[in-house]
Amino acid sequence: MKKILKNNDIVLTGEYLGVVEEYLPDKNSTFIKDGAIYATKTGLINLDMDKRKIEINTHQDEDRKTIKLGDIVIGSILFIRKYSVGLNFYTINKKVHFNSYFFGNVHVSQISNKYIEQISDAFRVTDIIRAKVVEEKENEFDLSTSGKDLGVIHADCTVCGTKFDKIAFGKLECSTCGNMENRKLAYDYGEINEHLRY
Amino acid sequence: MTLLIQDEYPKKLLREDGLRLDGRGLTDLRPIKMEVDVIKNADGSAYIEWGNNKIFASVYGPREVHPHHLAKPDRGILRVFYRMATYSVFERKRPAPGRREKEISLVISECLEPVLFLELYPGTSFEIFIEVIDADGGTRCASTTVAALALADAGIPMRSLVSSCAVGKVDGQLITDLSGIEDKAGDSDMPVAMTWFNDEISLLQFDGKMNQEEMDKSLDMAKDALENVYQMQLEALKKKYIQIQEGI
Repeated sequence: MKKILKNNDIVLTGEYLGVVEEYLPDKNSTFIKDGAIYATKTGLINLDMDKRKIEINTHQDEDRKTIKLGDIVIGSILFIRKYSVGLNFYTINKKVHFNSYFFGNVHVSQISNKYIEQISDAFRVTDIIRAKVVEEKENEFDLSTSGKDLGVIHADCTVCGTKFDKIAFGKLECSTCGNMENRKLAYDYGEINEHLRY
Repeated sequence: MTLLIQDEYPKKLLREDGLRLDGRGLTDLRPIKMEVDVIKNADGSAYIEWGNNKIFASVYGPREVHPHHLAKPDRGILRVFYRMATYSVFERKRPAPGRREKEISLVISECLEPVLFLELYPGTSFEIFIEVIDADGGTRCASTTVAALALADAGIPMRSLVSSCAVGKVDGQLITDLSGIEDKAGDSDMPVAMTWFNDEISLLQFDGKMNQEEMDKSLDMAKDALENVYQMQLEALKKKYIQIQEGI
């Protein structure tokens, strides 16, 4: 049955929306079967006729648990490779994500807008960092920490394990053993009072 | 001593005027009430009152799989936990999940799997918890219906909804939507569930005796009843978004 779609119309799961020649369907909220577009979610239509895009807005964005490009995530570094680090996420968009199955990588070129020779100049294992999602690769995500508000927000001394104090931009010192290390710091390093490890 | 509830069933399940014991016609459904978004902590939830059945379903996911070895690297998994409350039936039901509950959980999960895009969520699990608060025949059908509703409410991509209803035979007559007594004392019972994106049957169980003609006819009856259930499901889903639409 042909029905003219309008913005903010209610669409129900499985409803016919149109044919593939009519719209560019959104991957997350529609599916294509035999050349026709059907809704996979219930919600309100978001129709962009300039770009011929159609998607369904479920108005549940605060409950979203999957990651989109541009999200800010917080995670701890699990391991360091030669040119990249791997981390799992603690929070997505300021919401706690227990036992997250998401996994992200930061390539050495994405760490900072300055030149970084070795990854250990910027990150160490168990650091907690804030990063931005820049690319999606199957089940993993590419992250970037280039920017003032992104980078390490919590670091422990690699010698004795006490929390580092910031002494200068990008420089940390341990108050117990005097060990000094370099990191790519976020501007609010040491000012975060929330629980970072769970 | 007289028993509180009679141990034996009535000999005739159809009245003399051709109606059933509860006054329904042969193809009438029991009164159905559906509601979505009833449990705050769940990602999606739904509640159904189907005759005397009262069932809650809540959906969580996509989330990490525990135990870890169940996770599939190429797709997500769907797990259903169907449980009956101890007070849901006349005699106290033991709270541990038994053979029947495990079977129904498996049947419901296999019935719902074809409508989900599990391949989009590798390494994750979707969990549906179904709590039967009050049971009076046809709980597996009502549970399937309400589980599909809860999945849709959670915003999980689905090809279509799934609706389910039972058909059966009582006193030589084919009937739709068996109640508890008709289920126990009747001749046969056949729960049917359909996925609407391809109009295919995704759940079919059978108990009792029927010949082939009756089988064909009862499947047609089931399809008619399922159309009604489907419309009710869509209405329940729509109700939530009418409020949001007015707020814009």
